[in-house]
Amino acid sequence: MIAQPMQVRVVLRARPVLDVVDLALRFVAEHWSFYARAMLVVIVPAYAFTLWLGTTHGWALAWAVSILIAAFAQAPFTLLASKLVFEHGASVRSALGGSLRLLPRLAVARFTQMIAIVLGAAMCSIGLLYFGPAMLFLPEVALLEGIGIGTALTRSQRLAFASAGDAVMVWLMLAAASLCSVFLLGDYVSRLVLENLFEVTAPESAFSAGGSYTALLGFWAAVPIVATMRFFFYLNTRTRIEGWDIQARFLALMLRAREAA
Amino acid sequence: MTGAPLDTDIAIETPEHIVFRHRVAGPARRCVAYFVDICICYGTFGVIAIFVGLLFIGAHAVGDEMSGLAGAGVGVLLLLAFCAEWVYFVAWEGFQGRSPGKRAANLHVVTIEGRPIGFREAALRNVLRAADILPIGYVVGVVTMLCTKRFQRLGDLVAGTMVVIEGRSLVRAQPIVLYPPATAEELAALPMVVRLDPDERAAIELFLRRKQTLGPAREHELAEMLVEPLGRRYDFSRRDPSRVLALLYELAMNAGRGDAPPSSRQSSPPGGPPSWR
Repeated sequence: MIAQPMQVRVVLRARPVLDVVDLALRFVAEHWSFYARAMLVVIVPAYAFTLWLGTTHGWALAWAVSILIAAFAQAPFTLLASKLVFEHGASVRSALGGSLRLLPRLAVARFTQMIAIVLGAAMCSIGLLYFGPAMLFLPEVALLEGIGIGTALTRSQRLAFASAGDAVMVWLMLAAASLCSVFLLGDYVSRLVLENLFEVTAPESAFSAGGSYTALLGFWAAVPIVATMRFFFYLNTRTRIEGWDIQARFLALMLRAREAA
Repeated sequence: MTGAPLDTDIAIETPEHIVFRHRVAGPARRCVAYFVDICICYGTFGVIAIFVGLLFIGAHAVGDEMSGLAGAGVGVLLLLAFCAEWVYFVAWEGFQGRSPGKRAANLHVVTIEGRPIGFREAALRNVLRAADILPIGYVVGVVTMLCTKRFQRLGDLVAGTMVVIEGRSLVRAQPIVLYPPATAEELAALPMVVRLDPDERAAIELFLRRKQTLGPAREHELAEMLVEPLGRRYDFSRRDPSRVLALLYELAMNAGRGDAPPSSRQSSPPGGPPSWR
């Protein structure tokens, strides 16, 4: 799926984890219009549906369904980020279409990931700390590299353990980002803003009520950003271990030589 | 969609037309630095508060004549709270250009021209924390950072400052040594004079520095890409493309130099450098 990195829209360089986060955030801000359009199609309906579930069937079901849908809702944003980085004339439509086509493959990858994480959690926390990072790039590999699940599993592990410390840190950081988005931004900050800035009645805290429309909003708002961060970590890992930055430079020189000839 | 590729590096050109590159720090790295600063600041405050609390209890136990001392302790505590909020960052950044948290995260505050900041800039950027922190959790600051090329929050924009990552995290250039040295047979197969332009030199150097982390197959695949056009230009046959690139780089960079690395003088390098094969 990823084109040859000839005209890459970001500077490829092996970066520390925190710099990757900064670059991903800058990337989302730079391409906010693409993200806004994709969110309108993917995130808004998902939010509306899970909010309806929460208010009618209870928040436990709403959170469970949200987590399940979010596992798939990240795919269009992963593809969108990939297309924005590597392709001229990238469009939200092509990212959405691509993710729909790759849905069965992603479903298998996510199912495998879930089984591994549940098994890891059942064993002990060490198991979780092994399987979580080992499966970190499985959705990206399945979506972007067009390979079967068996090969994708091996490849995901190879990418993750090329820099195991970073993989563990990234895995924990992404989990923390999602939790912060729900509890800190979605629940705490949103209620403060509603009460103090807009002077409207804020919903009950998600801690006591089990959920709220603001906490759910925080959860869904984080999905595109987390997907983009994951893509940039994947890109950074491949740059580090496969020398994509070198390839981009060599290809540019090759093209130049061809044009001169 | 057009324009320069996105990066966290910025270039600053001096009036003498010397270009310095800085890597600017974004919200994630600055958040880590801020967390360390808050821990130091309020950790110290907490320790002193416990001490003052104990003093307060002790003073009441001794008698009423000591209660004035306890009152002074509370005053000191309030003063410290003020300092933690308003003086800590200004003082550290004014004196050293960075707070202890920024030092831990390898950051430095400089002006947008790349010069060290003074007290005026430090005071301005820290007074405006009050605006950046709104409505809570630096939301305004983070949004402003993401909208500016230099990751500047409101305080930085007003003071004309930015936070950069210090150079020690960047790769320090070690000379590239060809090992084993070029054989007479290898040199005979290559042109006498090799000229590489700056882009080619930089690309080959990057490759030579990283090739051992790539794996043999990937190393070969990458080297093939550049050896082909270079082979057409200099008319040489290629066997091991990676070795050929190393030889060409060696010829272009070190031919005829008295201070060239030992490989250019046909002797083994001291300490056994990594082999370029």
